[in-house]
Amino acid sequence: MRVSTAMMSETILWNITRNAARLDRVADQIGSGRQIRRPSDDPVGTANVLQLDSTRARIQQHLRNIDDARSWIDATDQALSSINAGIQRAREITLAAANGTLAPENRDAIETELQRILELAIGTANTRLNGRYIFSGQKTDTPAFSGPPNAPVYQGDSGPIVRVIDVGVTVTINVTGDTAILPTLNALAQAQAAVAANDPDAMRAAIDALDDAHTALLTAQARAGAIGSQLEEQASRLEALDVSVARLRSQIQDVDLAKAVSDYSTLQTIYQASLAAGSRGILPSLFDYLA
Amino acid sequence: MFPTFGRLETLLRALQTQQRAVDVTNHNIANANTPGFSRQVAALGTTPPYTIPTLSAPRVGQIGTGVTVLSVQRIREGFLDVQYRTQAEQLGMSEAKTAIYRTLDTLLNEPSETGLGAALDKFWAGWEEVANRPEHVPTRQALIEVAQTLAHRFNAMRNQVLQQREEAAHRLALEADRINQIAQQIASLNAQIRGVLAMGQQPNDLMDTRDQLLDQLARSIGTTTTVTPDGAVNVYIAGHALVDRDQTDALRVTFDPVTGNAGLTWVSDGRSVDVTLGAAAGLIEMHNVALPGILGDLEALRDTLVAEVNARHQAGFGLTDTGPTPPGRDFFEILPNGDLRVLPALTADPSLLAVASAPGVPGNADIALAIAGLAEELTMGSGTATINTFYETFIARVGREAERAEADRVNQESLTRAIDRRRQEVAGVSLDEEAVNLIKYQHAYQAAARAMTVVDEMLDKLINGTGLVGR
Repeated sequence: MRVSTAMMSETILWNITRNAARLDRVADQIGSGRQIRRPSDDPVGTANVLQLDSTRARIQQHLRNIDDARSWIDATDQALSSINAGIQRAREITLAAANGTLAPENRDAIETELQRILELAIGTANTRLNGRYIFSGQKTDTPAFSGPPNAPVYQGDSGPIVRVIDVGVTVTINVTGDTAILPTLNALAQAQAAVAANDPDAMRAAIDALDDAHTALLTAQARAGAIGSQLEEQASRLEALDVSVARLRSQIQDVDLAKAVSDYSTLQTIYQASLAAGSRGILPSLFDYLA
Repeated sequence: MFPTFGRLETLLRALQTQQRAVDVTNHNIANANTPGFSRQVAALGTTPPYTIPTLSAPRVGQIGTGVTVLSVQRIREGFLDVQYRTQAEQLGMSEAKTAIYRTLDTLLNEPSETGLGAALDKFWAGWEEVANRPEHVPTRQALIEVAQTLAHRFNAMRNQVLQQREEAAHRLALEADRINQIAQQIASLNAQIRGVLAMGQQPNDLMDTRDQLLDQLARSIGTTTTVTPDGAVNVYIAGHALVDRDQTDALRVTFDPVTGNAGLTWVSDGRSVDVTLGAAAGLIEMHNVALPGILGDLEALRDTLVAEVNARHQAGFGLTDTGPTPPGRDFFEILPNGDLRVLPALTADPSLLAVASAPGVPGNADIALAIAGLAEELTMGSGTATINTFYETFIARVGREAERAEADRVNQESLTRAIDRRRQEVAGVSLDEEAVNLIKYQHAYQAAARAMTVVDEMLDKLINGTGLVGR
């Protein structure tokens, strides 16, 4: 093969340029820590990364939704427990009053305590979480109960408050005051009226009503508890999923640093060799050796 | 008898011829790095012999009279030029496409936290966040800001694609100018070359220049060429002459009034040119097919998003809306220039955001949940893709096109280079070879000079040393 002088220098330059470009690409990867810098680096990988990013964004949002739902459920549970304690105390003292052996001033004290329990229960039923009445259904701007304490009226609706906890999965997190709390309030008012009237039969009927109300309350509490544990389970599932999605994404997108650095030093050696070849190869020709 | 002084003439020719050969070598050395230069050789040949008139002619024969330069020829393989130009036409096309795809590839800004994909994800999450706290105006405000970011990224991406389309048209006009300019230069060289050839000389350097112009032309547009018997090169594009001896036609860029598609037409008769190769073809394809396709996908995404979000939003109630029928407010709107934005009324008052499916129930987030659920609905590609998967496919497709254009370019570049190397092998100047030639011609020159001294001494003997008998 005949070799022209310009060919030699062109070949040297071409090789130097190509090696420099390869070196630059690996340096870019090491510097950014990312294997895919633009879609054309790896079109399928890019689509996968986008999809995994979407999945992660959704997982993060669902975890936030679950956090929010948990605080709602906690507030519900606390309120119901406090009302529950009130019911038990009310049943005890109403039972004591029904025995009929009490002095009038003791009965008055019981009536006053029942009144206090009732007011406390109404106050608790009107609990707010971040400004929202949690027992009013979807009418979160309206207190659940209003009216005189001995004849409370439910102001909310039966609308569900839902949270998205997974793709296509929603959970209703509220219990409405009308089914869970109203029977309690009515039973408390009934008990108070019976004690005030000193009517043992009415008191016994009130105790039955309190028992029924207690059942309704317990049912609501059990539901809240069940939702709470469902949320816990879902949260830990999502957290585990998040970790594995993140790992998958990292496998596609992040640079294997050990490999990249080793590639870099190999390419650097090649680049330096091409430079060295250039510095020796471009200059001499036969002219250099003619006297 | 051979003429006495004829011997001096023979040697003079030898001296002159070696000098001419050194001149040619010097020209080669001087142009060792000149692009497009083909090395030249002095073709040496003998001068007509002298027939000695004798009584017994058959036995003595002819005496040579020395050497001369028959011609100075350039060493070049025409078929390699043809091969080179065929590859250069492909290279020009893939280079033009790669340049635009490379810009697009960067503009897409994926995968990143600031791309359109991330903005879509934040948009869906924003609606779920509103569903968590539908009564809370700052949460609504945050969603509106997220939606504005989404609209902004959409607009930026779409406008950049439009700009690339304009850029393609602009570059096409530049290519047309270049083609016209080269055509005129070739025509003018044709005239000069024909003139020189008619005088029986070899216009080597002019032909090199013309070949180089043809190389450049091949990058811009696909052509066929023919060589006329008088040495002109005619250039045709799809059968229509661009250069005919010293005459030229010209190309200009025209746009279809209906489709807006760009094309090249002849200035002479206004007919359009079917361009299939070269940078011009690459630019036309980008302008008429690839970029509109990308734009179409982006707009389909935008239109679906707007239609689906608005349809749900129209059915909802804001915090202050009273029933019984919903106010039918849109969420997004598309401006006449194609830009997307959030309805200004919502930006001004986020409580108007229609989150609830009934009036007067601030805790109701049915509409927000329905819009958040859009992320999972197969609203695109005739019910085969969600908005997100459509976008992912779109990015992957553009990425693949960019990857393929770049691979084509690299492949074509190495093919073109390989053929150019073969051309260089034949036509390039080798300084080693020229050094050897110089030595060769120098020695021949020295030998001729020495021979001349011999003849001189012979004549000296004859003229000054004879006829002196007895002195």
